[in-house]
Amino acid sequence: MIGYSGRPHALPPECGTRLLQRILPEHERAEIMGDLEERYQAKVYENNKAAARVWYWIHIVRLLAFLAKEHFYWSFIMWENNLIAAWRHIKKNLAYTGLNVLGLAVGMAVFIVIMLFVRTEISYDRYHANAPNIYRVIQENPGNIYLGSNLFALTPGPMAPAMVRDFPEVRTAMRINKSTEVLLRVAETNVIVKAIHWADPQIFEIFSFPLIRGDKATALKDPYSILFSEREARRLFGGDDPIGRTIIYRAGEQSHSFTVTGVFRDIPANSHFTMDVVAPFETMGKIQKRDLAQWGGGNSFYTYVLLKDGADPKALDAKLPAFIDKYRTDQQAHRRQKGHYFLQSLAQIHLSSRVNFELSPTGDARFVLLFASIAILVLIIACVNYMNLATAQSLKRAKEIGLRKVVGADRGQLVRQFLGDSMLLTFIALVLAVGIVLTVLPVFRSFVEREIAFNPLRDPALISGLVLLAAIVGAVAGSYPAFFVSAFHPITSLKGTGASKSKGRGLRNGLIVFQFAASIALIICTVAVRSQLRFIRNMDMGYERGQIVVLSPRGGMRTNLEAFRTELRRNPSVLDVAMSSDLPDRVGSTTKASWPGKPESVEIKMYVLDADYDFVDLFGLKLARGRNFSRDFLSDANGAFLINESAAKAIGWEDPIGREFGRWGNLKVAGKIVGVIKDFHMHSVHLPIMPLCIFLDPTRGDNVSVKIRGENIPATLAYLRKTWEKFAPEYPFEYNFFDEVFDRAYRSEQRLGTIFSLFAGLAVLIACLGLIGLASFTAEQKTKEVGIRKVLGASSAGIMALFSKEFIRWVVLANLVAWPVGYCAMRTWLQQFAYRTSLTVPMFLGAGLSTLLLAAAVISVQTCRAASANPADSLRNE
Amino acid sequence: MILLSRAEETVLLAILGLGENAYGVTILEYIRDKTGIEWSLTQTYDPLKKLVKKGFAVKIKGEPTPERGGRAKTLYKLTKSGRAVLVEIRFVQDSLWAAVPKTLLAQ
Repeated sequence: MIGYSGRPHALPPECGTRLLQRILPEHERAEIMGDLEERYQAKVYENNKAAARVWYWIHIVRLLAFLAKEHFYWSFIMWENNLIAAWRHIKKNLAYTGLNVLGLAVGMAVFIVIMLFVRTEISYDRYHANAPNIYRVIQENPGNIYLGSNLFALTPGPMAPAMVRDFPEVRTAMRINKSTEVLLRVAETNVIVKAIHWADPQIFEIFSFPLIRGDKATALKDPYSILFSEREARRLFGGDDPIGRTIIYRAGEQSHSFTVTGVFRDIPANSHFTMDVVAPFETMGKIQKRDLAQWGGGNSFYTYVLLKDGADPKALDAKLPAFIDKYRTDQQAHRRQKGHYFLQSLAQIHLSSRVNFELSPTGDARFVLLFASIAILVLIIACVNYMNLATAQSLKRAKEIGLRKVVGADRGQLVRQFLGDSMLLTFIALVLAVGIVLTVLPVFRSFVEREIAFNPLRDPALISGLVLLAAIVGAVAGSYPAFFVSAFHPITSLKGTGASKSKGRGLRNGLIVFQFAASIALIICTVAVRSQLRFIRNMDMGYERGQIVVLSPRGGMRTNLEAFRTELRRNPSVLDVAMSSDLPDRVGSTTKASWPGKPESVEIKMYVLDADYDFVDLFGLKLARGRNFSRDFLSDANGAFLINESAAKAIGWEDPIGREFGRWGNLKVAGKIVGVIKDFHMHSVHLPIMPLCIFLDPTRGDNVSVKIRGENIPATLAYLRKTWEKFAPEYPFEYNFFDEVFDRAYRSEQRLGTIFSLFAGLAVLIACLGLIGLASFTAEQKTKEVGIRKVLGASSAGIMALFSKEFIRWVVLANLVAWPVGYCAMRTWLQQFAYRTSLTVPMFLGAGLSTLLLAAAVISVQTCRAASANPADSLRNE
Repeated sequence: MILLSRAEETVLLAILGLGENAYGVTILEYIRDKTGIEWSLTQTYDPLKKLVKKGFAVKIKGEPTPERGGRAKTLYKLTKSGRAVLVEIRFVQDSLWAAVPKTLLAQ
């Protein structure tokens, strides 16, 4: 042995010492650090300080590795042990675990499905490379409320080029417009395409619509060039190369020939508009003979601008009024146009826009929000359910926990153990939930009419989201049981007295109240939404909807309207035929009313509908005064109007019959008012009834409504088809039943009704799962008490009542919480309808009572077994 | 026969040889001096722990020294069974060596 005494003491590196101080367990610290320091001295004097330092650090690293190995080894042993304990517990209580996992899985599946939907909704238009800099120009027209909104997506034709010219911050701009239901001729065959979009060539610069064939810089340069989407190209040309092919576009009597210059990739479903056929915007002006350079009228194009990086859209908004004034010199148009233009960012279009005349229907932010809140609610209910069951169950493990504590487990270890348990169950539930999602997603997809992708294996964001979800649910759901359990007193829990068994009951009951309150509130919402739907469906709209077939005439039907109608009427099953510009449930156009002696200052906006002689009778509109249009009065053909009661009231006429009336703000299109019809709902019941005038115009054939006999409808439809094919063989026969068209307008409400029913059902299911677990647990805990009661003469029914009372009390309390919540929520929702059902007491009582009965049934099934058990069995072993 | 690993056997022999002054550093130096093989400290702790666990050695708290930064030594002492196991190992080894024929040894 070599001694070092007498030499100056060399301190090892300080940070190394401090590190060791930290990581070494206390009972080994003095030994190891002492040894190291002693050896360090020797190294310093045998070699030199630098070498000693290197040696010291090498040893620290070695020590670390050694300690880490030890740590993992032991925590693995512990983990294995916990896992075995958890597994034994699961195996012993398979039913409870099943209930628990099922509840979690259902809750998580609901959450996943809805969040997939929400993700789809907010992903709209975000895939464009330029997305943050793309804006749409829209206008706000104060006072001009059309179908509930005063925003319009339409802009004048010259706006886009003028903006590029005048504003340096605008990189480029484009216009787009569409023609629907277009007939094309491809290689001697007629094909109908849903729409042609007429767009400026800049479309491929602004939006990320990649071309598969053709060059995006030149594809739309030629005035008669045309591009197709991949799927449309496949439909029209099969496997042939579409480039250079000639397409004949038929507009009325004229034909125009286009050449295919490119194919673009299918527009993703999460775009606020889709297109399959694109042709140059300017060409539309030529074909439709529209003046695209006019600032005043013809306000019917969509303008998109691409701003330069860092440009402020608000600043540009502020410059727009002066810009419009500069160009719009037409005085009359100027005065008429009170609105102002502003930029709407691309990302906002799908969800936060309530703009009239969208290119394609958009989503609804409120709907998404509602969906998301229901999802979170259901997930919370599922978590609460888990807490409830797990806490109750943990009492059974009291002995295990007591023993662990006695053997030296600290609280942190127990918390970790029980959190681990809940994580294990949540991950099992996650696998189950993914299975549920995969099964229900196709149904859900068609239900919300969105293409929702669910492909966890190819979507790392999704998979990490799912894992995160399970981790959070596991942590939240497991947190309370873990802390509850780890607080057990080892002596009481090992003694097995009932002392600890009443623990946590207060919170469990609180959780039951919460679960049921949420379920009852959802049921109330369901009932209210359904009642409103029924109210709408049964409401007297003021017109008839049954047995009316609606056709949209095309081609030869349009040009020979009168002959078409005569032909239709020839069949005895056709009772009546009427032509009109709109159907009575959706009157689209508005006009400014005028009459002789109208003061300049008075301006009355009126919805206007053009119809023939038979329209009023066919739809069963009621007359309040005067008469219907009639072929017997020759004067009617020179101009005749019907107005509704609201219109008469708005103008202030006591007796409007015989008065002169005109539309478009002048008396050029004028006539006499022949009658007043009773108000009918010409829009959805979200909106109040507005003034309306019906102008006699037997030549308007936008909609042909055919009233048919109720018998033998297929034969009548076959006749309609035959007649259609006689007049327009190139167009496929299309028809709708008016009542179906009507129902479709309330699709979003129906969807809401279904969703509420579904989720309320699921929430109740989960709550009942929890109740089953708790009731049977209580019953099990109280077997001895039941035995003694029975020995002393209690009846089975009496015991069941005793048990049920405890739970029923909380469900009743849940009602008291749920009613005001449900009331407030539904009153707010109903406010959006101009005509609405009232919230009645039976709705609330019904929701409460049905839940109560269900809960009672669940409880009694569980307690029945305990109550009917033979007391001798339960008391025998002590 | 109780099995000891080579490292455990070596460390146990070092404790025996060091008598009253067997702790981490001295054990290390003892092994280096006698065998010429330099161990690292961590390499000695693992067998030491196992020996204590198996009951062949015990830890005793020793005196603090200035070289150790004032920390106490942890001394190791052979137990009875530790001594017995060393004797047993030696006996087995000797008998096995003795049984090998001289001619074979010479090769």
